[in-house]
Amino acid sequence: MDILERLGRIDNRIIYTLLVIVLLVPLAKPIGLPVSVGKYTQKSFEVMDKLQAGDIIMLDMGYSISGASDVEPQTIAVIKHMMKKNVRIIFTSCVQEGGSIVENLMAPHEKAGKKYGEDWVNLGYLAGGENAIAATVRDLKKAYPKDFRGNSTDSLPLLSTVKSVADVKLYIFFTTQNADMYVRQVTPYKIPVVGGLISTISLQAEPYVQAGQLVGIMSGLRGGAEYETLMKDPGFGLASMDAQSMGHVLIVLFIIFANISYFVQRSRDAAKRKKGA
Amino acid sequence: MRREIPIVVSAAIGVVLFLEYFFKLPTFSALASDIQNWGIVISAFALALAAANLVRIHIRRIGMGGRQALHSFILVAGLAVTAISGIFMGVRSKPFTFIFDAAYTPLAAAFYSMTAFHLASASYRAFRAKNAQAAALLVTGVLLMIGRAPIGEAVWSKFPVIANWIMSVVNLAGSRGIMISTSVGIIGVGLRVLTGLDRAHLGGGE
Amino acid sequence: MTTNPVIWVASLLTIAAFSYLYKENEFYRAMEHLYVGVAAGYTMVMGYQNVIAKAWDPFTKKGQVIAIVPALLGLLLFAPLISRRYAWLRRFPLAIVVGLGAALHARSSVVQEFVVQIRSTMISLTTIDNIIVAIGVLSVLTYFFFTFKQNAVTKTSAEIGKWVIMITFGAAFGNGIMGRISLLIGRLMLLFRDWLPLVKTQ
Repeated sequence: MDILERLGRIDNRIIYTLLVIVLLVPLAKPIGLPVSVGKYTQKSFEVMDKLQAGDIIMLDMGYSISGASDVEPQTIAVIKHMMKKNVRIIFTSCVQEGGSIVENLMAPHEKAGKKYGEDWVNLGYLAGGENAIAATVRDLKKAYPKDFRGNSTDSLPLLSTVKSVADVKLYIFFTTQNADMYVRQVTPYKIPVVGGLISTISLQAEPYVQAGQLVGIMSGLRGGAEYETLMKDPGFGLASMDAQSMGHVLIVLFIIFANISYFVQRSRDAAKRKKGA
Repeated sequence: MRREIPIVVSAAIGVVLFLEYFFKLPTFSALASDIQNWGIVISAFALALAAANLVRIHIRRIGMGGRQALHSFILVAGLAVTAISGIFMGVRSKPFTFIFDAAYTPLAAAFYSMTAFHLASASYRAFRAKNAQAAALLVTGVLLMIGRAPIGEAVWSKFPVIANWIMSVVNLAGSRGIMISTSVGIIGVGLRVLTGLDRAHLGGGE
Repeated sequence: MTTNPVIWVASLLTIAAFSYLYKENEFYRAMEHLYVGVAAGYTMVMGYQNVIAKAWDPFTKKGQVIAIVPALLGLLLFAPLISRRYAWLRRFPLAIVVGLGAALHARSSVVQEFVVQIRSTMISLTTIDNIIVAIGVLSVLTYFFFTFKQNAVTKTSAEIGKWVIMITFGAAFGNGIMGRISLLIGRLMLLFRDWLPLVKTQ
């Protein structure tokens, strides 16, 4: 077996080890590759930057904890942005972990002085997926008689002026599932909707942005890095971009080597068959 | 009757929701809101049903003994400790948040992140440009990976431009075509379920 | 090295889960089962919270008798676990949930995914990109014509549609890899930044 054939038969464990090394090295020693900002993240940032102090937005924490590494940097950056602008946030969730995720993400802001019930509320998880989203945006307090912390929603000052999603300035969702259910249930209320999506599904939301149903989308870890760039506040997103780049280069090299080996093998087999014939 | 009444119930719900959506009638609006909230409560019970089924199966396995018994015990113990701490001590209690932060989150993330390794291995072993269309798929994937990562822009400034063009033109066309096609299917299936033509969800038997 | 017990437990469990990459083993199986158990327990807690907030408290504290009806219907879902004879009772809550889901999905799909998307495809054909989008959408739609015999025009269109779909899937593949790599980066950060201080970030 010569080297070209060997190129196509590397052991899986070597592949896994190479992948880990290639990701770790730039994390330990960053290269500092610049991250340009895409038009959709730019649009999302602009619409959120236009919000004024005291405005109320609704944020659906629709990503499961398994996909958090991809979508959480965007979420953290957006929350930081909103807290900086003193925009008030109503957190809802259509995934089970949402309530706990919100508590973790808002803990530093609460420590910094953001008051629960006035500056933000965590309504927690509501069962039913798309039905839960539909019920929430229609009549918030009917859908959520209590919040994640067990308080009656009637007692929360932030919710006193909010009956449905039409009473908020913006709806933003972060999801690892799909953008479809949000577009179906929220866009009829004619308020701006922004989506933060895991990379795997972000391309499927392209038609919604082009059609104007979504104002903007942020795609995965790159979206988080872009938002951090716009915020001038580097975080996990920007820190991971060099590693992301190297990981992509490695996968591309794997594909190229494997295909070179494949084509060489194929032409050799064809030559052998011709000789035999 | 045991099959007909549920079909009538589904159909009635469909009529209420469709009328309320397309004609904005206040009576139907209030009724639709109540139905949606009932659906939330029933869905919450469905969550518990899944857990109850799991407990039933694994307690049986513990009873049977053997190698599987230990694993089943771990499962049931994990379920019990989490459920008891969350229900009786509260979702913001130290034990429940510890389980969420130290066990649930890292395990969920670890299992999902392992797909990166499998994808790397699959990219290496299985993604061959065996014909022109497979080659188009591979080349597009490679262009997108390079174009969307900062290194692409550092190597050649046109890589991100190409990647963005693929995403906002060709991908837009493909995704939209697929979206329209699936929406036709969804509307068809939805109407079949609501009119009782599709009864698979009711299960077999009398 | 950190002294935070959460990070220690999280890291050790992560390593046990990753041990599968070397070889399937008992630690990995144990982690698999632990994860399923904890996830199911968490699910139960969330379900419990929803039922208490939306059914039990309104019934017991506010005297809203109607509020307990969906809870009773929800209990009917457990009928097959009690006896096969009563399994048919679960059809009533299922009918509500499935009917609700089908109606919600179908009614909004008509407008948001069908009408709006078709309308957005009717763009002015003054640029190459717009022409590609319009032709691309039409050709992908013709690709999905499975129920009647295709003529020369629809066959050609379907072939173009196939190419558009392949490029779309290629783009999805590229993005999928992006997503997976970032998930792995997250785990590496836990192990090599939070647990073992080999990586420092801002």
